[in-house]
Amino acid sequence: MPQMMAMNRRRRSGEEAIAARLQLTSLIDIFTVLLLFLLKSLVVGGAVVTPFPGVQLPSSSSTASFKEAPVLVVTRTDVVVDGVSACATSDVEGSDRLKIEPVEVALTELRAHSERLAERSANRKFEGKLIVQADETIPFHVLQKIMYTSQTVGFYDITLAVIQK
Amino acid sequence: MLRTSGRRGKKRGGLIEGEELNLLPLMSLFVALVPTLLYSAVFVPVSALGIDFPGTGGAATASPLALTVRLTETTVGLDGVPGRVYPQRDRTTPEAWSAAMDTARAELAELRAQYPAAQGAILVVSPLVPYRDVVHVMDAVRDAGFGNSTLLGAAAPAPVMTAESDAGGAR
Repeated sequence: MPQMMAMNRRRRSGEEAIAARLQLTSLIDIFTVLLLFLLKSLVVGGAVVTPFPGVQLPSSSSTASFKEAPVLVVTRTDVVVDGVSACATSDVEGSDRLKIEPVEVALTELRAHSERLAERSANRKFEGKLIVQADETIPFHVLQKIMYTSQTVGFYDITLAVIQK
Repeated sequence: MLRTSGRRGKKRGGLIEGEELNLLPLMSLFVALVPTLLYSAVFVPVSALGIDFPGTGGAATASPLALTVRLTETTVGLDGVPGRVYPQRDRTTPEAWSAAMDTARAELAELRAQYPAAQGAILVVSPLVPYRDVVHVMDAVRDAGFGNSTLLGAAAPAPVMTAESDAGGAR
């Protein structure tokens, strides 16, 4: 019995520690495939515009790219200016005036913010660019009022966002 | 004694084991690249559609041809071409809309050949026309080579006067 215990102690002290090695080969395979897929989807140059949730953009054969600009979204329920809801789309539909006051107020604030940023940076200036994402089902007169209101505030260069066919 | 083999490695029982490839730097590179590419990847291609506005010096204002496309809830047709009158074609059904647009594209191609210097078109759109139909017409104009369109809203039709409204107005 003491001999057995002595043998066990020697075996335990003589054993080398087993180091578990991380198998990276499979992980490298996955990352390589993922990398190739993402390289294919890479966009070089121009701003990347993500469709606003809930907005079905119309499809178009246009392939032009965007320049960096604030985004105004017209969903079926709301008009969203730079991420903040300005008014309901139904209010715009029901208005008999071309200029929509809540949208005008929101765009005026947006312009003021852009001009404040332009004062601090020599590279930035307010250029009057605006990207409009509108749901494909909205009637034209809603879009017309939004564009008219945008122009009265000083956003003369309006670009419509569409899904590329 | 010179070693003839250039391979460094552990020698164990006569066999030379090569060193294993160190994948950790490659993994570090991938971990840095993948989130960057994921951030800039585009899964839904969104394009820009330019438009001109009246009074802003758009292409249509300087064009030798005042090409106009009239789009209402029920019809679509060309206008503004000297010496030619185009019919306003029905678009109340999807088949009629498709046929009307095919005809419009053929007419636009013909005009493009006839007026190569013409640029821009004026789209006169009725208030209730869906936005996607407007984009469809703008595509046809741009694909024909006329460039960006100028959007104008058509005036809403005057309300129809009835006997009741006449009596109410007279009071």
